Amino acid sequence: MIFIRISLNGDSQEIPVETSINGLFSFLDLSDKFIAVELNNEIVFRANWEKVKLSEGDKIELVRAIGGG
Amino acid sequence: MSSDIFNIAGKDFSSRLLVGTGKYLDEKEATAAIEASEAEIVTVAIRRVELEKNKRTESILNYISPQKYTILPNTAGCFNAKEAIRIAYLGREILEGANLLKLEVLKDKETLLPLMDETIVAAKELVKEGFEIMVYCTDDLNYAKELEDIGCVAIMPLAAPIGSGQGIVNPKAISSIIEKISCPVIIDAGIGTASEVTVAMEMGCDGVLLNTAIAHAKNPILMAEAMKEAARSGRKSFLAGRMKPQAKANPSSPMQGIVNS
Repeated sequence: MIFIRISLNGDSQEIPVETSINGLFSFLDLSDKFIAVELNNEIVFRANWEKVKLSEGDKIELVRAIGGG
Repeated sequence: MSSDIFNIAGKDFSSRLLVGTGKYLDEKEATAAIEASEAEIVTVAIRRVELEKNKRTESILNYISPQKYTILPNTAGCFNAKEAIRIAYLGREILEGANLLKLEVLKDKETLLPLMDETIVAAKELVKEGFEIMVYCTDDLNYAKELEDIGCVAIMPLAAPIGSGQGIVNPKAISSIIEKISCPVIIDAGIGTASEVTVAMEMGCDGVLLNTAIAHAKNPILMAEAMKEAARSGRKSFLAGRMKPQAKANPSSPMQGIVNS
């Protein structure tokens, strides 16, 4: 399998080539509920998560809500 | 009192106590305290997902449910308008398009005081983009007016620095904001105990937002109840209208018919 390197929440991460955002959630074994995704500083709407395939050097941010005041 | 409705961004609320969800020991304590507070608007912070599987915790929105509460994502940890705007969009995406936001842009990590010039820049942009923003601000009336003119849905001056529990440090400044601003004024940050919530409400604040005063109480659940009652009591007292203070004593029992020898 061919792997590419992306930046994920500030850390370098190897993922299989042609991984979609939905695929990234499966790869990380992470629930996608209540999560927002940024790809290269732009939000990717949930409706596009299957369509968007990640490329070498992409910068991904996965964010969520936590306790705060 | 049943008609004393609190309206924010077109939505009616019966509780005037808004609470944060930070600094609790665990999910169980947070859930119980927030439930006991009977708050309807609850703040959350936006942060990166923990990628290491063994460090992951359940999403707070799984137990503080958006079905039950109006979730108010904040921009805590942002030190300029650009960062705050970015977090606003991420928060809206997490909450599936909900536009309500607590905007806060801080000066530095040390004081956690609002950085007003950047707050104003962010507020203008976010209102233009359809956000309904409740804005953490200083107790400076000029900034409060500017935020109202921009179209913020609530002005939220600090009582004292975030997490300090010092109470209402500058009541005269808060009073002048209440007097001159027509959108809801909510005290945000610095409250330490229930009597201070009552005082804020008696002054005519529309609501109080607090977090640490409950989370760091010895018994957070009991303090949450105290805060709920304090907000109600202060509001009723404000609506009832206090008596005028008198210079002299005035007996409550008639001076006639006193039994004496």
